Amino acid sequence: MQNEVIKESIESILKIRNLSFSYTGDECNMIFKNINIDISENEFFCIIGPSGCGKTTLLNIIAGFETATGGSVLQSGVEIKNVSHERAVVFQQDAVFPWLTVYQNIEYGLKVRNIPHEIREKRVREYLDVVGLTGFEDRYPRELSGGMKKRVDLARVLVNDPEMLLMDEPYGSLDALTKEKLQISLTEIWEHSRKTVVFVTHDLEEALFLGDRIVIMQHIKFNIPLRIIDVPFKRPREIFLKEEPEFQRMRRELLQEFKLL
Amino acid sequence: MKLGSYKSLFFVGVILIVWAIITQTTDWIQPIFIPSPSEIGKTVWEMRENLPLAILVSLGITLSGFGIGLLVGMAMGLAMAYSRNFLEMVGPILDFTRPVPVLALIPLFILWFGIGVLPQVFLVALGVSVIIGVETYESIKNMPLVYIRAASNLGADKKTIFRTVVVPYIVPYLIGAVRVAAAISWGLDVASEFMGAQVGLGYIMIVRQIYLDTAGILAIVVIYSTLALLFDQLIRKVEIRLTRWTERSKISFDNI
Repeated sequence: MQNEVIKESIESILKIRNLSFSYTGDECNMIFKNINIDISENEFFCIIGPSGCGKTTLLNIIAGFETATGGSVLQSGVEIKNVSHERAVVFQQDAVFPWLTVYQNIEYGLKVRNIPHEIREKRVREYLDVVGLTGFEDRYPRELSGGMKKRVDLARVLVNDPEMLLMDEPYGSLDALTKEKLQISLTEIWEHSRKTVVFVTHDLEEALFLGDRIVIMQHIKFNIPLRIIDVPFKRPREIFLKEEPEFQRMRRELLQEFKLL
Repeated sequence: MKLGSYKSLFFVGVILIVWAIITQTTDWIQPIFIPSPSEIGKTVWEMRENLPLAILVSLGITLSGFGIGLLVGMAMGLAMAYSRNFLEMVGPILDFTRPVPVLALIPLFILWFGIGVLPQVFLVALGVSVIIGVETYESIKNMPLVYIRAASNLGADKKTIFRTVVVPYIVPYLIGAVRVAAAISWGLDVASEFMGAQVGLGYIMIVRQIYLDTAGILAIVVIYSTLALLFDQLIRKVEIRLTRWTERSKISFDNI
């Protein structure tokens, strides 16, 4: 019953220890149980699994939105108890504030933390450029496409220079083409900053394309231990990677993992 | 609805003409039930000396009552969402008193506060604040959690979240209730002037009623309607200002 997958390393920034969660707080309604994962600094770590396996809940606990029923999550050795801008979340739903312009959205985190105006302006401009939204700063979100809103969302957290990014199926609701574009720009941005990323998805291709390691979460009722896969592809990664035989082979292997059930 | 569109003006014109013809050239309807439009116009003209002050007083009561009610209602709704203690304390009392028609309180108001402008304003404010308070609280309860979580994740504390996320989010949802409350506040003003007013539109209406002066009553009704309509237009102007960011739906069933 123990899902013991601990990669012992000194530099792991995030340690998930014997983590269990149940909405009712008792044994019978467990979403997941005794999860152990170590995530290293500067790692792009993907969590894949079918709907209902608890991957979003796991991310919410890391973010501090939900409290674990048992076990703990340690960030740099300190137990996570609160929400913090150091663990920046990019949500599955559209979380861009529709009443603020693109500029004001990206500025929000800096503003509520009372960062001086001059620094704010400089950083917002910088990240507008990083996500390719320069020229759109005065638009309201309703004037943007779904993909552009996701870019605002990303810039809004990156601008605060967080220690890690927690991304919860951020591109799940987008069309295939937009999704691919955003995946490419995400790898580019990531290769530049090398922030620790925990990325939840149910898209195997996305996980293989973006991740350094992938953990496969299964529904608790199947009682299958967590399996972590190392993704061997070197960086920088380009979109053609998805057509390589080795990529396809790994994709099939992952697919098999789910089909067994 | 657009005020002053040709179609509506045409229709109003038709109604006025038919009304005038029936009341002035036939004896189907006695003037004591429905006087002719010109009769009402004449009455307005006769009242011209008393009207400006009456309008000013009634406008003052209605607008200040509405304004106070709006602020108090929003504050109540926000406080109930902000503090669980406050909600548990005030919520049940509000649920218990909400179904009581404000108008039923008029005798008590006279007893408690006497007669005068203050209880009149208070009555309007009370009626408005209950509507706005409930609607404010409900709008907040229906907010998507993701906005709150995003704001808190970006470093905002509870107070900041209320100021920068909750308040801007609920404004478009409140507009409907604000318009309803604005319309009701005119009715509440009429009722409040039954509490021993000595001047005001409602007061004039009461006096005309005693003399069975139907034209006079209808004249006041027309004035009230005009004021209410103008006020509603003003609210819509403000609404457009405040909700530039919303995805204004252009729902039309014309092509279905």
